[in-house]
Amino acid sequence: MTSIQYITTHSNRVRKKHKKGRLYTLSIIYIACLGMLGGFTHKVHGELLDVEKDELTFGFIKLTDCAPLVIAKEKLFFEEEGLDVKLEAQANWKILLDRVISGELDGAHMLAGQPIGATIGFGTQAHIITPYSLDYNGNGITVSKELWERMQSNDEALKSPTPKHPITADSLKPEVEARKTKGDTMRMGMVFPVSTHNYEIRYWLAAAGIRPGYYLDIASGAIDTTGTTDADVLLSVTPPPQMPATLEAKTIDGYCVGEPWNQQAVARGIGVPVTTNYDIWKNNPEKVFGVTSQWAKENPNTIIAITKALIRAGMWLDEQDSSGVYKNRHEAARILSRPEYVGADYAVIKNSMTGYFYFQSTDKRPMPDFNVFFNHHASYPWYSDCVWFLTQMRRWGQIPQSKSASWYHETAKKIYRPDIYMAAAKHLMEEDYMKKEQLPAIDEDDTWAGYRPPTNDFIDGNQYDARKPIEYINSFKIGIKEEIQLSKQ
Amino acid sequence: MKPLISLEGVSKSFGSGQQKTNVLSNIQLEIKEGEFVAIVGYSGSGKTTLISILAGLIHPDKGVAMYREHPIREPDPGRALVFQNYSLLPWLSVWDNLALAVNQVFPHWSTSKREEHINHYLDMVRLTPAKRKRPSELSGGMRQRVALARALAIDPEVLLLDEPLGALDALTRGNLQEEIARIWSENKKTVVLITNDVDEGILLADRVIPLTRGPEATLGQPIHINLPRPRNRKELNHDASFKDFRKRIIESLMHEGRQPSTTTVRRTFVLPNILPEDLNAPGTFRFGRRSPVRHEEFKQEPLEIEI
Amino acid sequence: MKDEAFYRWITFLKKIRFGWLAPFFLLLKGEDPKTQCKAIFSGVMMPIFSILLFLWIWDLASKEIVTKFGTVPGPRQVWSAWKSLGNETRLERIKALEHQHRAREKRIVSAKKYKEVLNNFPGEMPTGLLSPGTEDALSTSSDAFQQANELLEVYNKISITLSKEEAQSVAALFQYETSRQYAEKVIQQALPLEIRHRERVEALRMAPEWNPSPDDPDKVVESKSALKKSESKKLAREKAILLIERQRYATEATKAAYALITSLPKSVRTLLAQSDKSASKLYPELKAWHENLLAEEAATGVKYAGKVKLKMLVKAFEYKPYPGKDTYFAQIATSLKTVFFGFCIASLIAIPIGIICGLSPNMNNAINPLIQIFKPVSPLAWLPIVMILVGALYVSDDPMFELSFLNSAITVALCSLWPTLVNTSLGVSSTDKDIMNVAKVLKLGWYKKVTKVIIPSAMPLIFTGLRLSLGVGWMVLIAAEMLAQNPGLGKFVWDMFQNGSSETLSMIMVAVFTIGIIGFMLDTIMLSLQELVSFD
Repeated sequence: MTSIQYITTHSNRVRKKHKKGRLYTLSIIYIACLGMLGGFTHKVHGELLDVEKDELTFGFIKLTDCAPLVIAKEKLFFEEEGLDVKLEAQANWKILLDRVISGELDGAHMLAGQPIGATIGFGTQAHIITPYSLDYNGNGITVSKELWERMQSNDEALKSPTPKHPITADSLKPEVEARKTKGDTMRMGMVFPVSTHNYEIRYWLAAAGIRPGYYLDIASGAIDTTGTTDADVLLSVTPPPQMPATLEAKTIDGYCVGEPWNQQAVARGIGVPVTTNYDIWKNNPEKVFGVTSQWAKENPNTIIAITKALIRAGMWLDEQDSSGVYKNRHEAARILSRPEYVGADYAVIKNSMTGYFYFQSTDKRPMPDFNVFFNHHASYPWYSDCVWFLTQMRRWGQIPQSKSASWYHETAKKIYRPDIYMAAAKHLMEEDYMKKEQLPAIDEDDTWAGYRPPTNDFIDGNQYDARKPIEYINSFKIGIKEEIQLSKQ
Repeated sequence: MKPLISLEGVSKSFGSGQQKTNVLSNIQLEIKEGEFVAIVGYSGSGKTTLISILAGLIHPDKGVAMYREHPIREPDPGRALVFQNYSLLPWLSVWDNLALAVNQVFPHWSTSKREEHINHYLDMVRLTPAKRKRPSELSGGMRQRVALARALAIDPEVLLLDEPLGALDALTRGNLQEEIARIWSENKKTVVLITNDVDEGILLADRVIPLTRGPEATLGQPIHINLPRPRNRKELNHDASFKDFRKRIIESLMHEGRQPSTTTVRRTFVLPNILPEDLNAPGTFRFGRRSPVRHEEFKQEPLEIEI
Repeated sequence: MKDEAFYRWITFLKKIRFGWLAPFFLLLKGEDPKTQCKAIFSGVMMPIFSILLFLWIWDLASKEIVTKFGTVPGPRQVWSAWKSLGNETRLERIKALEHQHRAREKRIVSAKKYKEVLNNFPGEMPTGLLSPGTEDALSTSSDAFQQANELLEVYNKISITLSKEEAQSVAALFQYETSRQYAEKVIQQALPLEIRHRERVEALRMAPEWNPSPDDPDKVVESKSALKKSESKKLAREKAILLIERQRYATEATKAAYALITSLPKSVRTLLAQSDKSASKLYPELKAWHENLLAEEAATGVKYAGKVKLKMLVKAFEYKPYPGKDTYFAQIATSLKTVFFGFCIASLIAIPIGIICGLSPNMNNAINPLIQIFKPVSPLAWLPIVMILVGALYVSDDPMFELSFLNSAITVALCSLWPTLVNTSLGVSSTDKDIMNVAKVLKLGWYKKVTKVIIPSAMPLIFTGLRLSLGVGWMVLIAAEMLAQNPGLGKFVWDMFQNGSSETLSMIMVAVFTIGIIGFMLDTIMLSLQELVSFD
């Protein structure tokens, strides 16, 4: 029996059963329906925060990782904090940031690099802070079918329908060289100059010895805003929804983007996702919630109330049953598939949200941690995550001058605001919404409080210790090098 | 008695350099108060230029135009002008057209007095039933009566009529000529009538002055029409002196200008774009093919005038 | 006389561009049936016929074309997308009602607490802070709500013995839930089906027999396309059936739920409305009272009550609209508002400048080059400039307009003012010379001449310009909204495009038709106005 038939007969059965005990069922439903109207008992825990502003507008980009914002609204977490929130889809990251700065938006779903780039003045200058990290992981690198075939011919191991992961860019290197001798340069797409996608695709390429290009001519000190100086592969900015079409038109040979645009390439049969950013760096920071520092100063209670609602949304999204299956992800996928939110088809969003990923139409793999919203302390704004972005910005020359190690730490403290997160968590614990063990164990007296422990969960196995940014920058084969004495300053 | 209006050696030319045309040259004219003068001339002989000088709309190059012994510098409501194509404001009703003029000229009058005044003149031209209509809803003759009423309503000392009946059919023209004669006999204003119709001049005027053929048109010998008033058109047709006047005028027109050849002049007249409407009968408006009202079809038609 | 009124009505119909209705009236009157039938055939039947033909061809074509983005939606899919938009509006309305109800609940809790606070006021109650009527109003408001709630319960009890109609709507509501689950499974079906289909086609294409053989290329091409056609037809049909079914379920169920929720007994509705009204009247007074109390506390040093607690209680009385998404109809309204605002700005600028240019040839010559240079500039070029300038200049703590609204409206104005300017200037400068002579003879002053003679005579051309301007503005608006993020139709199109879902194309087509139809209506309205001011 196909499932369509099954559903039809099943629902017929339901209808028949329903006829029998009609009066009983009807009255129950009727009461439930009226309950929807009048019966909402408001469970008030403790006192509400005295919010300075209660009608808020947040911006987001149509990507599945805006989920905490959408869930906080749809599951009424915002409303229970006394906030009336309106969510507005934005055309692109630049417009989103500009509208947050101009005050048209109170806050927004942002690329992790956006508050950092804005605060240090790369691109638009404005002091943006982030009290809440929206998620970990969630991106993939997709190459065109033709390029995938070339990679397969360079590496026999890839010829299997389910090749071994992680796939490095080693098999891509000969193709890049071959193109170069032909006088042509390979092109790939990413989302935004300060987006995680840019740093991830650069990391992936550079790990295999392919130079993705600098934003700075090291010899002359000239700034190159396109980031293509000395490049083996030219990276260009393409808006996420246009990625598959651009790939199909052969304008680019591959791209790094969030969901659902990798799965779209599979569904349309035009590309093959070779790796996810989970393989490039396990549990890497992806999107954050950002507001201007001015706004946070003027609305100190509101920002805590927002963070409270977002933490609850994150917890709801990552709620697992005893067997470790996410309980609410199907519902979340359904909400996200509404046209006013992400709007892609439910079937497409569902894949990654419920922990599956199609690498080819024949290669569906479980990826339970493809999107992490709360577990692994994903929602806590770690200083070390901010430092990583700063080191990558320096590595590729987006930060043109040498900076001392202390500058990295001070800058991180200016942008990432775990204090707000902790204040919100404290309220939630008082209200019994959160348990202490759900918070990272932070020793306030430790100098390195808010830094994740050193890790080498990277595709190239290189160790990242956020306490030593200068050493980390110097540990890369490809990238700008710093004077070692800066680490003491 | 001093003349009310006098032109002394007036010349006027348009354009410059090679394109320069002398329209009028050395015009001598004196008009007494209360006199009805008709200036008869060919089409294109500069009649409109002459009357524009009298109105003050344009100024002579040489010579001087005097009104009550003062040079004419600008137009004045004291010398009302009636145009060949009526020049009614098409967006205003008949009543409003008159009101615009009356309100402008008699601002100090009370509202009721002004209304009475307007009604009086509408009555005089027998247009009271049509006072709420717009010009586009009126026939050509009715429109010219409105224009006449407007000119009279500002109570001018001189009425300048620039081929007022030129664009009307012969029947309407005859009726209006009688009307003008009647109104003149009631008011006894000074009137300068410009026309290309010799009979019209004889029928209405005390004095007919031929304007020779342009360029460099000038006035010929005036001919005093001493026919008794009221003059009846039908009777005059058989009157010997009427025929004599006509002969003399035409001769003078032929003589004094360069010898004209018979030519056909093509001119575009803006004709009334609606058919006459009988005001007393209820709607004769019909749809379908037989409909008599089709604005577009009547709009502009070249008229061929045999001279 | 009755006839006259009838024909005046016919003329009026023609003036407001409903002339195609005239033959029907005339036919009813029995006037020349043959002519009227001919007029109906050419004026009514032909357009209908061409629209039907268009729909038929579109329907046929859409079934044939399969892109990598899915099938091209046919008229049926677009129609069901349109209906699903109506459905979304209803759902949104239900959500708003729920929100309103939660607010009422909060208020009734607050009102009770509030009374409690007043009763247990520590020490002497400061006098003159609360007007005597307020307390009564407070209890009236909460009483009304409580009464409504009690009535609701009674209604609830009565309706367990359901009437037939009610039973049906409840059944429909039940269906809503199951159909949602059903629809969900149906959609899940669709994607694998599509992938499977594509694989099949791909596999067949790869098979050796499909390699074009040099001896008979025609046959290969023919059979290949035949295969592709039949396959895609089948898939298109399957998908269309799924889509229609899902739409039907969702639509019917939401309609029923909406009807149920909005069909409260009148007594309940009145009481609820009463409660809302008295609460919204109460809010400013309570707020003032609270502020006075704070001032009193600051002045006397006596702490009367917990500051925050009271503030929250007062806040519960504030009316706040439901912060939902913009429904399609709200987006249409925003677009219309934006275009009219932009159009008004354009007219306010263009008409005076046009009049000045028309009056003075010198001014005309001076401004003409500027007009010619700026006229062809696209909205896409204006918008960034407008955004930067407006963003810098329009700074206000409590802005009257949204920035995005202003940006789009000003862009619309910049693109649409030129036709009005040019036409006004032309209309003014071509005022009939004889009419100007009349003004001279009457010695009208400058102001009177302009207002009484020149502007009225230029009116028809000014209106022609306005009509063209509005058309340009409406066309430009969509692009401006897309970039400026003004929540109108342009943003709808952009959002739908970004969604990249199976409904994307149908939704965008709905927007295309909406834009077209509204544009047509605006033009018709302007044409009628133009007709009314013309005096020929």
